[in-house]
Amino acid sequence: MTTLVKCELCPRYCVLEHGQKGECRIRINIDGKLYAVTYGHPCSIHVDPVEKKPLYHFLPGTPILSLATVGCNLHCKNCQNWEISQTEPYQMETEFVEPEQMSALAIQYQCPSIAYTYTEPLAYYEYTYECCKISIEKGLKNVLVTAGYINEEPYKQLLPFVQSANIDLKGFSEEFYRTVCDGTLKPVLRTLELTKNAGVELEVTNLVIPTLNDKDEDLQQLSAWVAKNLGKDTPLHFSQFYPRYKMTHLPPTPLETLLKARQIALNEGLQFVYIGNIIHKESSNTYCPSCKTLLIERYGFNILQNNISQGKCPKCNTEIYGIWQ
Amino acid sequence: MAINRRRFLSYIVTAIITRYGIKKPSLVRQTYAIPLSNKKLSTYFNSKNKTRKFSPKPSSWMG
Repeated sequence: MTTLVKCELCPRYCVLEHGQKGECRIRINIDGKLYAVTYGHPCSIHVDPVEKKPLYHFLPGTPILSLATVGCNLHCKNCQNWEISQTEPYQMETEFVEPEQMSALAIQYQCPSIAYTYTEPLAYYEYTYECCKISIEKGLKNVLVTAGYINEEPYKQLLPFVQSANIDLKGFSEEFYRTVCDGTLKPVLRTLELTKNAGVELEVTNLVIPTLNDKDEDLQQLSAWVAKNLGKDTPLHFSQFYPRYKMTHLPPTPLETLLKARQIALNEGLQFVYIGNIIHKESSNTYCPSCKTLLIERYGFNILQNNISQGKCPKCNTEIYGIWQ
Repeated sequence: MAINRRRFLSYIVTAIITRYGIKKPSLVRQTYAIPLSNKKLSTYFNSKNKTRKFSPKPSSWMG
């Protein structure tokens, strides 16, 4: 008799026949059991600057071992990593890398932390989970760079092993999530709340796409929600969109739009608002929310100066949100 | 005696359900997937034609 498997990891709740993979292309029904095809088979391993995640309030200036497997449970039309997120595992030649080896690599390359990123770490959940558990034992820290499209229960199981997260808030309407990402907004908002409530250092990224999510009201609603539900100290990154994948017909985001988005967010009371994917000096720096002293000066992914002292402003002693050592 | 039309149709529907409906598949819910063992993975990967070889980018992916 055929046994169907209903995957309950993410809000898609894929029901799979024998031999069928989920929308993520990672999870497959074999003889009535759910298997993770890409477990232990990363398609990308690289040492990046931590600022590239982007993370500006987590161990600034340090290298971070970054990895991904193929697959993602969203299908964003503008995905910049679509060659690995929207492809089949069998199209990639990979080697088996044990979770223990990932920690060893991080230590070998003097990375104090590991990022689960590039595609969707919550879709290759089991590999992320095992790598996180082992790396904690080795004294490393873990970072999720994710779209946050996951059910509550498995996410809560993972959070104790995570120290920092950058979560995409891609838009602020169900229509945007449905038409651009093939997903829904509400579970992402819940993931953001769970992350902040768990004490994980949280930074939020919004990719500003011309004509789709760049209206003043979109940016204002998004910023207001972040300020109210996550806290005004939550860093917010507005990233420049580049034409990619199925959205090559749209232009890159103008700098003026990004600066406008930043101002709207600052007007909503958010203390740390940055612009990404484009060089703009002032918007890359970190200033004290109280006395406006320049705390961290950046150029691209490079730290030019870091004046934060034991997590505080050196001038007025205000505690600055983040993990600084 | 002419068979009642409604009864005839119900016989047909019952026959179809009996013939095809008894094989209704069972449903199992699972949140956490089992890592696919190397042996099974090898079978899985090699059972398909590789249409594209992954070439690492000179710099890393976004994010």
